[in-house]
Amino acid sequence: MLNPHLVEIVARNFGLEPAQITPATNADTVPQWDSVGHLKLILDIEESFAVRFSSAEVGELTSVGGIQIALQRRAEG
Amino acid sequence: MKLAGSQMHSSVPLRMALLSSCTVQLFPELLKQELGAAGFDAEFWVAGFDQVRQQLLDPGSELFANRPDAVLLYLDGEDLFRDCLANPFAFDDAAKLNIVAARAAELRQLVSAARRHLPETAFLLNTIALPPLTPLTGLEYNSEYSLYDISYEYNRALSALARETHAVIVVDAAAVMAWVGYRQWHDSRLWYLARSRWSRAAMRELAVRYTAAFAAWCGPARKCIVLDLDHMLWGGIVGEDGAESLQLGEEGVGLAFVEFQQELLNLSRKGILLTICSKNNPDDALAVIRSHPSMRLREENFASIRINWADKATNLRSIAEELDLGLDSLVFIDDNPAERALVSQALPQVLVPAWPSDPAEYKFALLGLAMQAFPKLRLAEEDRSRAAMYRTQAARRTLEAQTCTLEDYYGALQMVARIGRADAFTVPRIAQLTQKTNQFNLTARRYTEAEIAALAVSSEALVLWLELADRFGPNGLVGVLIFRKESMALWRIDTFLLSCRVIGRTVERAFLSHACALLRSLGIARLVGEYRPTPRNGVAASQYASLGFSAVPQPVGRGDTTCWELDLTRQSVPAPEWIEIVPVAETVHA
Repeated sequence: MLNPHLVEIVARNFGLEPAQITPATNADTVPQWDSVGHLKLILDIEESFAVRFSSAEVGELTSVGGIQIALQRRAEG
Repeated sequence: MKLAGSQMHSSVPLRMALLSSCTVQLFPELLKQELGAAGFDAEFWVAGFDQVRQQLLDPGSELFANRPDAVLLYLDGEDLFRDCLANPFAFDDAAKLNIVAARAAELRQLVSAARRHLPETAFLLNTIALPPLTPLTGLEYNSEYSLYDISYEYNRALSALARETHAVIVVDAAAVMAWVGYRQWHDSRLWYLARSRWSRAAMRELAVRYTAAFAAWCGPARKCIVLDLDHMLWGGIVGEDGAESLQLGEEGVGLAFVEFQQELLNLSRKGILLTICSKNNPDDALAVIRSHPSMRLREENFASIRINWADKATNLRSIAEELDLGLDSLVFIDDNPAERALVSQALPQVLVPAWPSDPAEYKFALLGLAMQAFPKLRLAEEDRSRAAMYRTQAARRTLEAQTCTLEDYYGALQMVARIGRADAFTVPRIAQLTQKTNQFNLTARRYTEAEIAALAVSSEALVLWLELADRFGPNGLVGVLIFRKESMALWRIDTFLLSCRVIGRTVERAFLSHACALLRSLGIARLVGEYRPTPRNGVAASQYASLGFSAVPQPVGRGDTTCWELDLTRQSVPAPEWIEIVPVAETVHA
């Protein structure tokens, strides 16, 4: 199940309904998820979850499912 | 700091264009929020990457078509001087300064070209700072290799541009970088992935500064600070702990209150009015303000004082009325959250900032608040004298209604003049008055503290001060007379000055009258005064004549100076009956 807090941040950033968001939601399917939108999203997530992604991760985390997995890895690690 | 409780009547629409040497696409969102809190409804147009020259130089550019109210032109030091930073060993001083001069000249050119198309637009430029860790670290300052002078010279050129062009505003981004810290300011991931020179933390703080700068350009919003007393200007509660037990002075946290007061005093010099609203016994609180040795703020620094047990909202209304200000000019500072809540609820127009509970935080809380609530780009003469102006205005208004003749007015003022010889306590103020008094200053001789201290103990000189109080409270030390011995029988008035606060109240008459009696008692027979005209002291031109001195022939080669003499054996200066004179015995000598 997706983290509701993450869903809320994604929804707010791209003007989506939380119900529309699935792990497969990604930069290719959401028009507002462009390069600037992506950085804003990543910075919002970093602030909310108090994490910091590497530059490689920032480049790769372009789907909600991928972000969730990265956050889980942080929580476990 | 967030300005809680700030409520603007309406939002002013604002079109802002962003141009930059780096990516700034993440910035508008944060800047819009900050501008919104300050009452601007901002819309942004952001130039494409590295489009600065094209947009500012092409008469048909999208920028000019947009007709922005403000152009935010951010040029980062690391972009401007990328060549120097990339290979700092390749540039000698001359080459480096040439590059700086060329970049500064180009900026000047760009702005002046753009201003032809946008004559009403404000141009927000920025100072630069280079990274604090470079290959030259260590060599810098110790050898001929350096980078620091790049930002220094560039920023100086910016300042020159701003001072000659009203529409140019410099935002001190270098100070923001220092405040945030470079490691927080710079997010290397954002640099490599998006060519952004700023972290989000940097953008937040920059948004605050840009907003303050633009608000200042639009005109001052707030004018007056309303202060609580206990646990605000001093630690402890005067009514319970007593004046001697307050935390205020050089010891421990007492210094926090001293420094806080010092910054308040500095704000008043920027033209911001200080007022008091405190629940206290007026006698207890006023005694501290008047005589606690560590107080930096005295009664004269406050434009209005309300010390009583009435509720604060009522007092704030009456302060605003007395000073003829709208409630939206007031900023209410109180350590008590309950009072803050009450005021922000009862008077939503008043700005009620959140306030730290730890006095150690007061100073920077105040400076941050001042930057946002009282932004200023340029200082007018009027700013500097505003507090005094309001105070006398308020007093005059009351008296006007009650008095009809000038004598009645003087009498109604209930003036008391304390006169004494200079001592360790008064030397600094005396020196300061000689430095800054321009109008009622018959000779305009300027002295340092050391010089005054020396005169004070010399047997060849007599240094007198005068403190004036009236029914509105003390005016502080406002008069100085310095006499110098010419011979046993003849003394000369070296300096005769009064602060502009008390001109036109016959104080000079009372002062000289007392001084003459003193000189006579020392066996001095003749007194010579001089008037040395300056562009500002015309008000005192006929002073000696009106005090009964007779003109004496001019010594050759003394310019416009006029000399006047009084025969102390036969003449005296009559003291005005409406001023009570209290001679003060000497205390500690300087």
